[in-house]
Formats: sequence, C-alpha cells, structure tokens
Amino acid sequence: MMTGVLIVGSLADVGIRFGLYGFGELLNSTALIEAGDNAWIRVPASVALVLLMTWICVLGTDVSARLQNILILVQVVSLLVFAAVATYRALQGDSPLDEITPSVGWLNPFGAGGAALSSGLLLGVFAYWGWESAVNLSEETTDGAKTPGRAALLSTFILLLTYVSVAIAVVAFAGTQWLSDNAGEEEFVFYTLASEVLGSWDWVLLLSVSTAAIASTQTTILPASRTGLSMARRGAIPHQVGRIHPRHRTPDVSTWLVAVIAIIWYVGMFLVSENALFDSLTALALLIAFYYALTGIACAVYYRRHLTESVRNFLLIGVGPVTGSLMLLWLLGLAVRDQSDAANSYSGQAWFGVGPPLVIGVGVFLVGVVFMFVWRAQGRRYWAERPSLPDPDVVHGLKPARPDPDGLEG
Amino acid sequence: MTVLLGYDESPGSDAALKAAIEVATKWNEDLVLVYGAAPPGGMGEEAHSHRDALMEMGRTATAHALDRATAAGVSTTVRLVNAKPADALMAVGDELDATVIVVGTAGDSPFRGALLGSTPHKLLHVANRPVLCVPATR
Repeated sequence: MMTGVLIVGSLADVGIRFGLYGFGELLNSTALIEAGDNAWIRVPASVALVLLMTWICVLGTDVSARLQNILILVQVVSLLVFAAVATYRALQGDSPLDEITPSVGWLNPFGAGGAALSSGLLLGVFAYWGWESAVNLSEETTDGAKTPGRAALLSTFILLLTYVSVAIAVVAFAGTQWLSDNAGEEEFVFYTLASEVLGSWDWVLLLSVSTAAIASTQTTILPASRTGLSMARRGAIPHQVGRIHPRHRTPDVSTWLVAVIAIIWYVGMFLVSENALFDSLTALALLIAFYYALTGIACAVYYRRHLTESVRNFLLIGVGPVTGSLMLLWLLGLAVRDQSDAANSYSGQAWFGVGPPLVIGVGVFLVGVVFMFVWRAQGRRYWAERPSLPDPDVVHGLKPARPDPDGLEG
Repeated sequence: MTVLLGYDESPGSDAALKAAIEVATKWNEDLVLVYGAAPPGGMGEEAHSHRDALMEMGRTATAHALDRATAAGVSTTVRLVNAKPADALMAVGDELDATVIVVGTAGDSPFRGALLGSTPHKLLHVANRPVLCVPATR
C-alpha cells in the first residue's frame, strides 16, 4: 500500500482545514475559519499532524478500537443526516440555491458519454480504494473463512449508499449550475453546503470530516509502514527498513520513512501549486487501477494449478479476477488517453505537453522501476526467490490458512 | 511448580531474569521464559510479517536468557506465544498453574504506563496470580 504515502499529506490537510472550520463554526470565531483557508497555518499544522500520527504509530499504542468505531458511526450518520436534510429541503423547494428535483436518470452510467464515464470509473476505483481492507485482514479475523467476505460486501454496500445519497443530495440541493460555477473550490463548496443545509449544526458535519481525515492519516501510515517492513524482510528493499524498535516493537525506521516521504511529497506538491496536489490524487487513481489489475492477474497465476479443478474454481479464481483486471487495464488506457489532454486536469496546465496526473503517475512508476533495477544490481536475494504455490489443502478448505501452533488463539 | 518470566532483553527484564533465577533456585522450581510476539495494535495488513519479525527477536532474546538460567542450574524452558506480552503471560500462567509471574519494569511513570500499555501495569491489574515486578536498577 505504498501508494498511500502520496495521500497522507492531503488527508492531514483536510483534517486540519475542516477541524478549523468546525471549531470556527462551533465557537463562532471567524479567525479560526480564516485560519483554515490560510496555507501558512494549514501546511505547517498538517506536517505537525503527520509527525504526531507517525509518532503514535511508532509507540504502537493500541488506539482504542471502540473509540474508532464510535467515530466512524458518528461520521457516517452525520453524512447520511446531511444527505437526508439536503434532499428533503431540495424537494420542498426550500434551498437558498438553485435546487433541482432528483431523477432516476442521474444514475444512468452511460448518460454523460465516454470521457465522463472513464474518469467517473477511475474516481470509483479511487473511492473504493481502502475498502477492500476487510479482505486483506483475512488472516487476522476470527472465523477467517467467512467474516472477511461478508465484511467486504457490507462495507461496499455502506460505501455505495453514502456516496450515492450524498451525491444526489448535493446535486439536488445546490443545482448543477452553482456546482460547476464553484468547481475549482472543493473544500469551499462542501463548507458552504454544510452551512446552508444544516444551519447552526454544520460544525457536527465539519468535525466529522476532520476526525475522519485525521483517523485516515494514521490508518494510511500504518499499513504503508508494515508493507515497508514486509518488503524489507523479503529483501525487496534495504533490510535497515525492517528494523523493529526493541521497546515499542514497531517497525520504527519504516514508519518514519513513510512519514518523511509523505511530508516531502505533500510540501513539494504544495509548492508547485495547490492544484498539483489534486492532480497527484488523480495520478494515484492511475496507480491504484494498475495494481488492482496486477492483483487480479496474480490471483489467477498463483492459483493456476487449481483453476481446472471445478467450474466454480475456474469462474471465481480464473475468469472473474482476470475479467476485472482487463476492465481495469481498459480503464487505465482510457484514463491515460483522457489525461494526456491537459485540459482534463485540475491545474489545466500542460507538463511536457500532457496532463500533470499522467506525468506524476508515470514519474512515480519510473522511480519505482529505476529503484528496482538499482536494487537488483545490489543484491539478488529477492530476485532469486522462486514463485511459490499455495498449499493445496488450504485451497480445498481442509486446513486453515494459518496453523495455530500454540493453541492460544481463540 | 513454575516461575514464569516475561523476557524481552530490555534492561528491566535483565534484572527480572536475575530475580527469577534467585526465586526458582530458592524454592526449587522450574523456570519458564515467555515471549509474547503479537504485534502491538494487533490487526493490520502484513501483520504476519510483523509477527514473524517479533518471533525472531523473541527467539534470539530468550536464547540468551535460556543460556544464563541453565548455567545457573535452573531447569528452564522457553515459550514463544502468539499473543501480546501480558496476555501471553496470563495464558501460560493458567496453563501451568504458575506460582508467580516475574516481569521487569522500565521505570515509566504510571501515566505513561497507562497510556502506552506497559506490561507490568496491565498484569498488576488483571493477573489472577501473584506478580513480582523487578525495577531495572537494583
């Protein structure tokens, strides 16, 4: 999940900005709200937040799962309340903006033509990114056979529900004209809408956005640092990265490395322009589509011996993942085509004659390839590793994926 | 009967090893070294890689302690457990019906201990058998 490194700074930025907005509204302080718009306050505060969150990750303190659960509930509920109130007021004709009545036709994916569909789908990949975590945790959950699959379905459903209802509510309440007039100012749009829809209760929504972004900052640093640890142990990156702090028992070098790269990226992009930061998020969507596609193909290759065992296997671990991969690659192709026109990016400027997201995406990719070759020249341990096959008994469900050697696991 | 020692090669656990050897020798008991290798925070992607790294650290640490205890003439065994240190000690304690659990303290303030989850702090509150806390400098 190293791609997450590129987004940590932006998450902290959103957390700080909406935190200032939220407290500004709560305390009726315009100074705080203005501070949220002031880059000289926000950028240093975001960097400090990233450092704080990294430190917490290194200390390895068990952030109370219950507190996280409550926060997530508050966040989802306040978003849904926002959506419900906005939709209701739009239907009543009570919106101060130019409201429109929702129609089923909004949900037609082919209603807006090819380029809009491809960037929409890419946005979908980006939105879904992270929600597959439930599946990645299959070794950690109790009843590892069923829970992750159910959790993945449930989280996808919740994701779909919140995204669609909030999107419909926003469009219905504000109208397309107002939204496209203000399209350059995403945070401003959301802030204004929160105030217009919820009146004096807007701080609840603003603070939920803030806590969500701050929590995401931490939950993005953590898996990235563990990926670093895992790669270092396999010899794919220098072994120093795999150091474990003797007292806190966390991979401290890897964690700080993630923070340093994240901060350099965030500040660097911000110095180029604020829009370049948004373009880097689009670039991220390209990278995510790429590695999701690789994952699908890897699935079929890893289980190749089991594909022909039954029709079910063939469809579920052969045809399904590979079809998904091909769709993502097709999407990637479309996105590369669209992003090669600079007019489709946030900044609207051309870098080397194409859109900045493409330059950033290809750039990150090339840095990885260069690093890979340099590392390959240094040591061959990782490359000497032969591709392994899954344990047939695990595939057939005859034994659990992780044996329990000491019998102490529930 | 058994003396349990939570051992991870920190300065505190070094003093605890000395005390545990003394106790085991005096009352003629077995010594069991316990290392809990579950990663802090528990869940997470790639957690097994983290756990494997901790298992390796635990194996090295307990091997040194095993040598010292055996040299002192105490019958000693090692248990690497896939649980957090305090949980590991309590589980093995129940399993072997240990006389006492010995742990080293690093001299953290109670507040820091409560916030970061120190093992002695946790054990003193929830263990169902005697706990001996040994300070780092004696």
